[in-house]
Amino acid sequence: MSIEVRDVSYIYHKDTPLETVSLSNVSFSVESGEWVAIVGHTGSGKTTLAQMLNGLLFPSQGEVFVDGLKLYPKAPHLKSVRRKVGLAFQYPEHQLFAETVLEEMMYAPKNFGIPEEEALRKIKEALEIFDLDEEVLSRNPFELSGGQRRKVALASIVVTEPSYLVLDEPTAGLDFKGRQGLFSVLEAFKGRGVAIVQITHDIEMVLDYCDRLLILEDGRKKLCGPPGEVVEDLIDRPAKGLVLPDILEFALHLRRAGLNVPLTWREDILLENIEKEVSSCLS
Amino acid sequence: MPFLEHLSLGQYVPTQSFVHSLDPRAKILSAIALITSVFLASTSLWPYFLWFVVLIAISALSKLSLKTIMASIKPVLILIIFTVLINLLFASGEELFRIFFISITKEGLAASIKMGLRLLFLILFANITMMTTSPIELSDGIESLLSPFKRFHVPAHEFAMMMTIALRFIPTLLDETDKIIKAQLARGADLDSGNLIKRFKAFIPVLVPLFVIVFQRADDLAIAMEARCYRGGIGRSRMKPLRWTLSDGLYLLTVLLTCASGVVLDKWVL
Repeated sequence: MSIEVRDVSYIYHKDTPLETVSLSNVSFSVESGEWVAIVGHTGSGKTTLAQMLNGLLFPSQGEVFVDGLKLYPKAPHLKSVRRKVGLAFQYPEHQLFAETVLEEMMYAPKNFGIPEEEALRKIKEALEIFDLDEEVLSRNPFELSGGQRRKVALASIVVTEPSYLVLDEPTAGLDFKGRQGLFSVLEAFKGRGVAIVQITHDIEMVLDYCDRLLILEDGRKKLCGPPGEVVEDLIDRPAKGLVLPDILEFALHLRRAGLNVPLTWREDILLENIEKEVSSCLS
Repeated sequence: MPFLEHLSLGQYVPTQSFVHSLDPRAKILSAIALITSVFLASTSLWPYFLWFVVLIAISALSKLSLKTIMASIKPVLILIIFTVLINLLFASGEELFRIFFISITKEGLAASIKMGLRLLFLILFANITMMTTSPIELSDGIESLLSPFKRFHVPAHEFAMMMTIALRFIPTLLDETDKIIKAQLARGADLDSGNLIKRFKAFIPVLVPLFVIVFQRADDLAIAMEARCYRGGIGRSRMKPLRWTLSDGLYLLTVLLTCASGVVLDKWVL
């Protein structure tokens, strides 16, 4: 069970003066239960790529398969694929429309033909995962606080129990606490075997959580692999518009200043290395 | 944006040409003159040849191919076809031939061709103005043309500012709409099947968030404008003041003379 992206390219406004290549020849896969972070600068094509994973956009060249089913316009299995692959855009709270949270959360189950009783059960489960009180169901989503709106919006996406969850900058505009909360929710999903595809521009934030990092640069796959390897590769081959974790940047500055700090992506080990070097230098 | 990618009813085409460099007021007045005379010259069909020649001339002077100009009517083509059909089917007069129960009359045929051509040229002349004039220039031109009416309390500046803002936000709102449509599609929405009422209902989850965003943006914009001390048109200068040159005058004069001759010939000569 996996999403396969094979040699995908995408061109916006093809055959017009505004033609721009958004993605070129990108391949990767997402296995179930895996957490993949797609990282790239603004305009690197990461959002375009995300929209291809559940058939909202179709590649100009190349193919996308979800559990072996190829995605193409008007494919008969498109709706079932969209149920399998949940997608949350940046600021998902902008999609809220209903008068009550219950109605909002019923939207996707209704569209996918889930019986009402089952849907209600799933809604309650989703609320619990997102640490929302059941009394919120009768409230108007527009009355809620920003953080709660985000939670309701995400809950209304995961309520159909997708096996893949694609999130475009899910932490944008959240404070530290909100971010921690969201990450623990995503870890809970991962624990249930749900694959997470997280799109972000911040390597440091996802480093401790993801199983694999995919770095995009100008629509091309620059690096892909376990986060540690990728980050260590990035030390020698920096990617456009991406910053390394702060502590690693600090260690690089120390090395430039003449201290021979052994580099590693592991924050705790790196801190120890820095401590050793600095203390030996002082004594 | 596969859903809204091909929307181009008179979208500005930025190039450099004689028509592009003209004063927007000359272009607006010419468009008004042309559109009015297309309506006035309605007795016979032949003035349309004249309008066609004008179209070719403007196309050559603006470096826009006739194909590009013609392509701009695509979004309203259905409207034109609909109008032609109505005129063709519901006119009384001398019967030419009939298909089953539908009778085609001589008067109906003539009226439908004229109506179709009239609408076509109306849209083409309006589009060509918008395709060769940037939205900012266009609203500057309108403001300047309306300013004599200020003494009758016509809010010329406010009107132009509203127009500029509306035009400026079309692409932004299209982007937002596209995003919301996709977000709801991802939640299993079915936007293009079922009857009319069903389809309209399916669009509520797109329209509500869109309105929320529009009001939010309007509010933010108002605050941002106030923060920069915007207080309407009083005492406002501009970076690029409009300048009426000889070529603007000549262009407008040529267009006006062509229009007048078209109308005069149509009414009294032929």
